[in-house]
Amino acid sequence: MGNLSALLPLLLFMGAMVAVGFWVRRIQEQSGSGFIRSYFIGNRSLGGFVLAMTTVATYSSVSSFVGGPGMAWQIGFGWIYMAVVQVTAIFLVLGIFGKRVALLSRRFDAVTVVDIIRERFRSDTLAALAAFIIVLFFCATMTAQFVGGAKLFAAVTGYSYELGLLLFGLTVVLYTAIGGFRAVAITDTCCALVMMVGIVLLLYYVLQAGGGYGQIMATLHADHPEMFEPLSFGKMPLGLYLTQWLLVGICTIALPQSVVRGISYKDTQGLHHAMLIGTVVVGFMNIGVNFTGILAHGVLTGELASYGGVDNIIPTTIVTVMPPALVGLAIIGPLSASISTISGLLIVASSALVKDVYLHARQKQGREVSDARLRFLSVASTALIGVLVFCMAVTPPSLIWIINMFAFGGLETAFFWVLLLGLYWRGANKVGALAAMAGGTAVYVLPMLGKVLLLITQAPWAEGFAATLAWSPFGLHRIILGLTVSLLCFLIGSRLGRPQDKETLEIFFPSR
Amino acid sequence: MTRKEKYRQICREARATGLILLALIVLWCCFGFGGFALTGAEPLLFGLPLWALAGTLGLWLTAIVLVWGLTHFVFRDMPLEDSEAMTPTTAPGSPPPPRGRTKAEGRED
Repeated sequence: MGNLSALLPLLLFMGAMVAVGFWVRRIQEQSGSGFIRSYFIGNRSLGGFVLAMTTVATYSSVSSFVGGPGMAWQIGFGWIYMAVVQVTAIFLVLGIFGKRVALLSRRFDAVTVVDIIRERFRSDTLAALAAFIIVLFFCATMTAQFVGGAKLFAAVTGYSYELGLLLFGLTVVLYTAIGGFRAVAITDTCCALVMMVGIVLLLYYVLQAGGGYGQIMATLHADHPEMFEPLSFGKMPLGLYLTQWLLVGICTIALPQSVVRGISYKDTQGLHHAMLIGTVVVGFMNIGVNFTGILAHGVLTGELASYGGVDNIIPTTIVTVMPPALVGLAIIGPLSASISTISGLLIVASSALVKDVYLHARQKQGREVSDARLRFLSVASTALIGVLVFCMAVTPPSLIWIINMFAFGGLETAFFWVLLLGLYWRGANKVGALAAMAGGTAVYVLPMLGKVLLLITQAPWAEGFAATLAWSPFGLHRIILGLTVSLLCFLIGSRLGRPQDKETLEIFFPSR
Repeated sequence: MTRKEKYRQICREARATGLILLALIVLWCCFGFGGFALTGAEPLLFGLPLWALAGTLGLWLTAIVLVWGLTHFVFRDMPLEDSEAMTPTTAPGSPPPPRGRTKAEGRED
């Protein structure tokens, strides 16, 4: 009973992505350079355009394409005004960390962010903690991406959730495991382009279905004056603006999946281009997709409840306005957002296990690991993490949507000060970094532990306890508390701990 | 460029990037909330009020212009390879430049 014409373009697209994976693997085998470097950072060969696209595509997730515009449908221009803060995300991370990380990684032959943290603070404990946090939070985010993509697939095509999961889930695991970072970067670029085409396509048909731009605007002005107010008659709290500046703007510079892109590009010219292209693309996507969400209110004019919640707005819009033959094309966009995020996280999670944990332990024992063995382990661990997350998504835990945004903030809390102060402040030392990462993340995670406790028992003491754990000053988002505690821990720890040794400081802060 | 010059330049670039962020935050407030205080929800162009136009499209275009300026006037091209480690250019008698350490050496824990 599914829509076969909707399935066909998807199958073609997914087939092309897998083909890219195999093609990249062939090229890498012929080039014969070191396996770890070519698999995990694509031999540091990305140009500006691909660097921009892969950074944007990994950063833009399925929720920017489904949940976000659904909220815009409800709230109006206040939502775009909030989403537009993301134009800062790309140039900030590339501008602040891009060259710093590129130079240092060449010096140490580093291929991961954890490598650089390990060298800066000379601490294996810190590196292990960082790798653990990366794998844990990445798995949560990836599961949420799988669930979001598969739900969208089911709602739009009429086929089952499981089929969708199988179709694009296995595709992304397959091409990432086979082709490594280079395949991720190239498929990300395709995905980002397809996302933009998808937005334009949907916008066009929404305008058609609503009787043209003027007609839709007239309807909105008459029926929903709140959509033209920044606070949307109280539907858009002021605190949310502040939170979003931190959560999806400023603090995104610390996301390991973004920072690692600083290790992967070829030359500074490419970096400069990427900053500009990335800003153009991320703005286009965020304004475009949310604007489409607002205009969809001129087509779906019923109450929110009649569509079954915010997450159903975009799927319903696609099915309502698009000709059946084009539905397949329209959902490639959001599904691309989903798979490009998964692939970017998958390769970094895998590098955390293979490079940061396994290979490091071996080298410390002074044992060589053959290229063939590394190749097997890398592909196997990428596939394994992928399949594990895939299995979690088949029967998604009920808290999955909370977990997604939660993981985003958790990564930022863990890495923000450690990277920023570690790379730009001489006084930062091991004790400070350890305290900041552990303390900040612990404070950030507490409310989640309360929620888990409430799943186990509903006793009154548990509710009180969970409420205490979830307390936050002025009811602000937890990330503000997490970041503050992390910073304090860092400063106190750096004060109390021994200063970093001179040799390390000379490498990170050269005096000549 | 020596390592120190590169590091100095990178610090300059990072600072300038941070300043652009600050400028965008201020402009975001002015364009959006300021624009709303000025003309309210009155449609200006394409049926959109001033604050919605300036706060979204306006901020995006401003960001593009600022980043263009940043990458053209502040950011400098530099070789990413560590040239000093490969060809030491120190005069005879002076100590050799510090080199990167090998991987598993000298860890504290």
